[in-house]
Amino acid sequence: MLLLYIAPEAGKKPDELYESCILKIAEGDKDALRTLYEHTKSAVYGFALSIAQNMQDAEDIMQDTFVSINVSAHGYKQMGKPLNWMLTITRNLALMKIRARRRLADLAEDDWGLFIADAASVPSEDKLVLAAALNSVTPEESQIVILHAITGLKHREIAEILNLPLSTVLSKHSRALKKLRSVLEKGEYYAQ
Amino acid sequence: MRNSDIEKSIKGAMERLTPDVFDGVLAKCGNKNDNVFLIQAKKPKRSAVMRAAGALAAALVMTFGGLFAYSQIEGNRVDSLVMLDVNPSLEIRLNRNDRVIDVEAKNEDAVRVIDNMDLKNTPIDVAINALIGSMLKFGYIHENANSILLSVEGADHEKSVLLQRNLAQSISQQLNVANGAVISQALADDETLRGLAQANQISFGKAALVQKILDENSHLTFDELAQLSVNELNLLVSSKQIEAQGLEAQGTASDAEYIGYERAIQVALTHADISNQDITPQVEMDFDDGEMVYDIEFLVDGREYEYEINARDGVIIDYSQERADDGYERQEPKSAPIPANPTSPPQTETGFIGEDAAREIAAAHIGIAPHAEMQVDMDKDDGLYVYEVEFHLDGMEFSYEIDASTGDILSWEEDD
Repeated sequence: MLLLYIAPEAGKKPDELYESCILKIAEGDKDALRTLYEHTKSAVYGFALSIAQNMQDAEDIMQDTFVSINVSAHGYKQMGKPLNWMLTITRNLALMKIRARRRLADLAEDDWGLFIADAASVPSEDKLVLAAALNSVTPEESQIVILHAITGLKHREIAEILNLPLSTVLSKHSRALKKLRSVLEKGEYYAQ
Repeated sequence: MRNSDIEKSIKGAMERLTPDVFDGVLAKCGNKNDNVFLIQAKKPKRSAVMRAAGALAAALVMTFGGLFAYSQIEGNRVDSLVMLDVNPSLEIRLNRNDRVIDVEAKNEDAVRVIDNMDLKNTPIDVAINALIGSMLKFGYIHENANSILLSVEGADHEKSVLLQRNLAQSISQQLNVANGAVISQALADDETLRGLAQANQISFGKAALVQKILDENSHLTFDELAQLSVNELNLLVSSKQIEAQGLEAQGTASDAEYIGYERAIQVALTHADISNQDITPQVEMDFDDGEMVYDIEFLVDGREYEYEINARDGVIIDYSQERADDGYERQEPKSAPIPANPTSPPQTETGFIGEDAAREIAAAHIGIAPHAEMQVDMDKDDGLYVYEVEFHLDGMEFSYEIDASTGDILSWEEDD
């Protein structure tokens, strides 16, 4: 639910593409689902990973997000913010997962250090930065940094997705980047 | 290392690391919609004792009020209680294998929903699926009232939570067809609450939800909240961001019967005679004197405005404005001139995007409207003409370096 009034923004190209995909998905178009998936998968995965802090959970959440999009596409209201809608689904699924884990005291180990170190295709400096972005800031800061870096969403839109005041998102983002810069510049962070 | 480089690294690494799950998505999407309202016809095999028990049960199950009669027989001991509240209110008793022992209608609407379905011994998820299907069919869940309350009670709390989570998820998937919303909770028995529920003629589950809202909103009373529909309660929970232990919400409660946040804000701003689009009022739904209302608060030029607006018809019930607390930092007058900058070339110079465009680019980057207090200087950096845009927002300082020819953002910084 919108708690803050969000000024309407001019339409952007990717949003138009996503929106037209969602409308086609509502009619059962699986090609449209694939197009949407290809364009948004790393945003969905990255966001899921930053919340769930576990690679297997993030993969499950990513899959459930697209299944959920397929099921609820015809309930989508065109407001020019398809990515917000999608990422809100991701966030809800991820929160359900971690709440359930927390309640059952079933804490998944964060395993990304290992997983990032294993990924041969990623340049090592990028690995360091990503690992630091996931590990050396608070989970909420990590969500903001990753959403901003991957999706190109505005701070205001991120605030909407995370249900936080704009000022909180701005200050957390700033603090997180400052921390990251200092960690990376001092070379304190090494991939595990 | 610059912020923009950090972001580039994160994006690049994440794109390479994202796994491919599309086949799994397709497999799960395949036949989901086809079996939503079906009840599995196949009955599980049962022992002779169980068959005899089943025959006895058949006579009792689904009878309004016919309960517990033989819950002592092995396999029919009540293990968990699942409660559904829409307006129809019903309770489903489960054995330890999560199969239905019986279903009790708690009001007239529920009798209609249960109809003549024989849900005895069906797995709980299948039974719920059938009951929700019936609620949809009879129009108890629709676009103006799309919320379902699911409550699970049992001696084993961990098990209740698991059941709550699984059922909430499956109901929410089923309800996606109708854009529904599920609010769910796992409960322990509570004598006081049971008494309150009985006194107000509502279910134990609904009473527990009312209590959770009361715990965080002392100005409300149990009696008045008990009269609200599940959808209205859900609107309050989501708007007030109530986070009680064990309370989970999926989907968005319908506010189609109300004027909506944006119109409520418009009503308040018009009344206050403020046309500034840049402010972000805080809006919350509340309940006052038997009406759902929007509470709206905003701060403009050092004055704090508060409005209470009837959520149904947009009539202003109450409003006030006062000087904000001392802690408020007075904003510079909006008409402050942009400081002249002798070092920057005139904007008419060909090939540059101009200072206003630079302001717009920086403002668009965080999603605000550009304004005159954004200070712009022109500079030469590595042989490249750049605009440096600086401004304050919510106590933070922002600075942008923007390519004066192309308008590309070269770097940006934020500082507390």
